[in-house]
This record gives sequence, C-alpha cells and structure tokens, in this order.
Amino acid sequence: MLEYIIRRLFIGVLVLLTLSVLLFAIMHSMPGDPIQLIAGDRADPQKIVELRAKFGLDKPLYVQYFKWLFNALRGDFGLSILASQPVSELIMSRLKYTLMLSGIAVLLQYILAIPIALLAAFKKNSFFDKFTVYSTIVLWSTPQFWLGILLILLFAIKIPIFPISGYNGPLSLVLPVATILLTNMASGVRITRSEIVDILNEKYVVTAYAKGLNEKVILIKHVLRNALIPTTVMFFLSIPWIIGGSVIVEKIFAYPGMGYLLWTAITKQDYPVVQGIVLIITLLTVLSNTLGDVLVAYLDPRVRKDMEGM
Amino acid sequence: MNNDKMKKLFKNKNFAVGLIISLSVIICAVFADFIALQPYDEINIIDKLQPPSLKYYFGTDIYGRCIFSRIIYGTRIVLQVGFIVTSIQLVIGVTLGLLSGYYGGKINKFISFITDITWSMPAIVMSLAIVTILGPSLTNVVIAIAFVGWAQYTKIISAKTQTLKNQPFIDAAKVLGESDFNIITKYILPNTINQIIILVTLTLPTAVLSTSSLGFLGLGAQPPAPDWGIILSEGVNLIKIAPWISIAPGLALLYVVLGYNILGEGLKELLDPGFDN
Repeated sequence: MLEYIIRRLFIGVLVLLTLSVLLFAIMHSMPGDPIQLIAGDRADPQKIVELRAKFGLDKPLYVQYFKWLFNALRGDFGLSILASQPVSELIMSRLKYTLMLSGIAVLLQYILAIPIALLAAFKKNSFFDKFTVYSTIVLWSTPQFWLGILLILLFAIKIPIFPISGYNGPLSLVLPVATILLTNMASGVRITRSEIVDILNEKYVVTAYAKGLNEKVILIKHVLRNALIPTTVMFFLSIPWIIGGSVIVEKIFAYPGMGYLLWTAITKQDYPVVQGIVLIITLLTVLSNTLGDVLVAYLDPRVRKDMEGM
Repeated sequence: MNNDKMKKLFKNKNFAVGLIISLSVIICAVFADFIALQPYDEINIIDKLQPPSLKYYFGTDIYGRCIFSRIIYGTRIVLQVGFIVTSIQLVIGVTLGLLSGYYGGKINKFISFITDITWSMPAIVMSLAIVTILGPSLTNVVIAIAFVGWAQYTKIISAKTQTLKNQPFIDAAKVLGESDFNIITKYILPNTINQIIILVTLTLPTAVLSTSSLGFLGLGAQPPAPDWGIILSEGVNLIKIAPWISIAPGLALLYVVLGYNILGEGLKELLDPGFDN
C-alpha cells in the first residue's frame, strides 16, 4: 500500500513538472519581447543588454526555467502586466471566493446525490427511477452557461429574488451554486445509481435478504457502505472539473473568483496571471486525482490487489 | 444488415429517438439554404430586436438578423466541430491505446504516462490556455479540445486490447505468421469497435458543449459566424429587453447534445449490456 502511494505521488509530481515545462514553453513562445516593452522603442542597445541581464533573460533557457520554477514553488509568479501587482496577491484575493463557491457546490452535490441515487436504484424501473434517469440525461446535456443565463432570467430579472451578478453576501451565491450543482449532480446521481444497482445484484446482498435481514439494515450496512467507496472517489475527481468549470460560471455571474480573473487575464493577454492560475488549477487537479486514486486503493481491497500486481 | 437486426435496433427507444434527433440535425446542416429564412448574416436594421413571430420564428437580434436562420446555419459549425474533434481524438487515442495494450512493457508505461498527464489536465482550463497561445479562432478551439480529450480512448482501448491479445484466436494468428501490424489492424481493432462507438457518443457531446462554451467566452469562432455560443453571448447583454436571443441557441444546443446522449444510451444498451444499468 505504502509503495503504491509513493508511486502515485511520484507520478503526480512528474505530471506537475511536465506541465510546468509546457507552461514555461508557452510563455516563451508568446509573441512580443517584454524587455522591448519596458525599455521602449528607441532604447540604447547597451541598456537592453543590461535589462536582459537584470531580469536574467540572458541566461540559457533551462536556467531561466529552473529559476521560474523555484520562484513559482515559493508562490512567486511575477508581476501582473495589467495590475502591476504580484500575481500571487491577485490570485490569493480571488482564491477564497472560488473555493467558497466550489466547496459549497461539491458538498451539496454529495449530500443530495446519494439519497436520490439510493432511492432511484432501490425502486428500479419505478416512476421515480425513470424520472431520475431521464432528468439526469437532460441536465447532463444542458450547457452550463445557458442554464446560468436562464436562472438569471428567471430568478433575478423576472422574479427579482437574487442579485444578477457580483458578490455581496450569501444571496449572491445561490444562483452560481445552483448552476454548478444542477449540471454536475446529474453525473453524480447517474454513476451512484448504477453503482447501487450493481451492488443490489451482488451475491452478498441476495444472501442478506435470504437470511431474512431487515431491509433497512441491508440497505445501510451492505449496500450504502459499499456504494460509498466509488461515490466518494468520484466526488474527489469532480473537484477539478468543478473548479475548471467555474471559469464559465464566474464569467456569467461576474463572480469575483479565480475563474473570472483567468477569463479577464486571457482576454487582456496578461500572461503571468494566466500562467499562475493555470498552474494552481493544475496543482489542485493533480492533488485531487492522486488523493482519489489513493483513497480508492485504501478503501477497496480488490483495487489494492490489482495495484500491487502492477 | 438483415431485417431482424434492424427491428431489434429500432425496438430500443433510446437508439431510435437519438438517431432521429441526430439525423434531423444533419438534415438542417445539409439543407440549411432551403430551411433558413434568410442568409445568416443578412442585416435588417428596421426589424431589430423583434420578438418571435411568424416572420421571424425565434425573433431577431440587435442588427435585425433572423435568429432562426442563424441557428439553422449554426448546425454546420456544430457538425464540423464534432466530426473533426472526434476524428482527431479517435486517431490519436485508439492508435496509442492499441500500441500500449498490445506491446505492454515499456511502451505501455510510456504511453500510460502521457495519457495520465493529459488526463490530469483540467480540460476547459487547458483548452483556454492553448487558445490563448494560438489566438482565438474556431480552428484553434478544435485543436485545443481534440488534444485535451483523447486520453479516455487510450485508457479504454488499451485495457480492451490487453484482454484480447491473450485470446486463442490471436495466438492462432501468430502461429500462422501474421505480422504485428496485421494482428492489430485485422484481429484486434475490429473487436474494439463496440467500445469505440460508445466512446464516440461520450466524447461528441462534450466536444460540442466545450466549443460553444469557448465561443461564448469569445475565444472560438468570431462574429458574424452563426456559432451558437456567439449568439448566446450577444444575447446576454440584452437579456432584459430581448431574452429570446439567449433562449433559442441554448435550446438548440440542448437538443443536439441530448440527441447524442440518448443515442449513446441506446448504443450502450445494444452493444454492451454490462456497461451500465
């Protein structure tokens, strides 16, 4: 088990390093010379050489890369071109909003999806089950940005209960959270439901019924406990998806989070900010993927056995 | 295909409904010139911001362009994007999957590493980053989405190939002196076709949704292209006075994506009964 965790962490670090090289390469292939920008059009060639030395741009590429990586590890992503403020400060001021939005969405998803899935699976092929299955397909097919716009139209314009955009108090969270929740929960309910249906057909559940155990006990002790394994892992894996998707949701609601910052940075070509945010989102993704994988290996002996055989 | 098989196919309601929806989209794209009321970029400033009526089924936008016609022409973009993205993903993903599954060992390790990296990238954020470098355009969005999303193919095809290569008929082919290339293309690939079909129906709707999301963010196709994401983003600013501009393209997207997803459900039930319940 420990060996597996180390192996998985090693892969996680390798993934991050590879992506950091990619990101660095991206920054370098950007059109435009930053030194030329700072020095101006008619700068003395000698001054340009000095400036290059000052910013370390005269060093070989790999030296520049390691310097950049080292700085990034300490949380120093350089200066934002637009705001002339450290990128890390800019991101930190927005990060809490994104974490709040995504955190509430993930939590609610977990709390709501499991009972719905359990009920649907237990009453398989009932009206409730069919309704659940079809509404998840419809929600899953709904473009997230359009759902957000519809919610604004309905609950902020036609019936003005919630603010249209920005963030001023918890009420501002309702519509963005609903947008994320409705589209993401669909897949959550779907997967949990088919997982529970599978478990209900397992021999140990049939045995439990055969020996006359109380239905409630079977559902909670045998079915739910086993269904929680893949479900928990899946929710871990959905975290990066939700944070990534927050770019669109935050843009629609002009919500002051990291995703909205990323969008403005992209449209205004503020590359250091883009680089910083992409790196942070990648880090979060790799972290939750690794955690999810390790968790499934820890919880499910069958998977653990497979892994050890690798 | 004989009649019995056809009957069995169409008895599956999901398959039938999904197929009809998907075909209707293709018909819209092919016959757009006949179905649309006017060219997608025809401007009638007198008729600007008209609500839906018999003259303009879905109303008009701020330039007086007919939303219905724009949406009909937009199906061409949707289909093109879906086709190109899926083809690129298929070629990269299936090839790598077959190679890593068949050869195993170091090749498998190397390919799984690349797959893991691609898999670990948050898709929409990575597409955003790629489009930032390449510049906003529909082609660049297609490239970005295709190169971010092939990992799923590799993972599943590789696993399937690994189980297939130990089957007796592969050993028989080896004894008969078939080359590796022939074994992979003639014996293994045809047996992965069910997985491939299911994967296509899974990635196609995602591709369509991602492209329109990027179009909505202003990073995909550029105006006056009748991209549904663009129509939506033009509608957002006018949502208070002309909500129909934002509603219609979203419904169109929902229709197409729902069609693909239902078709996918049907195919899953038909091709792989154990795939899902």
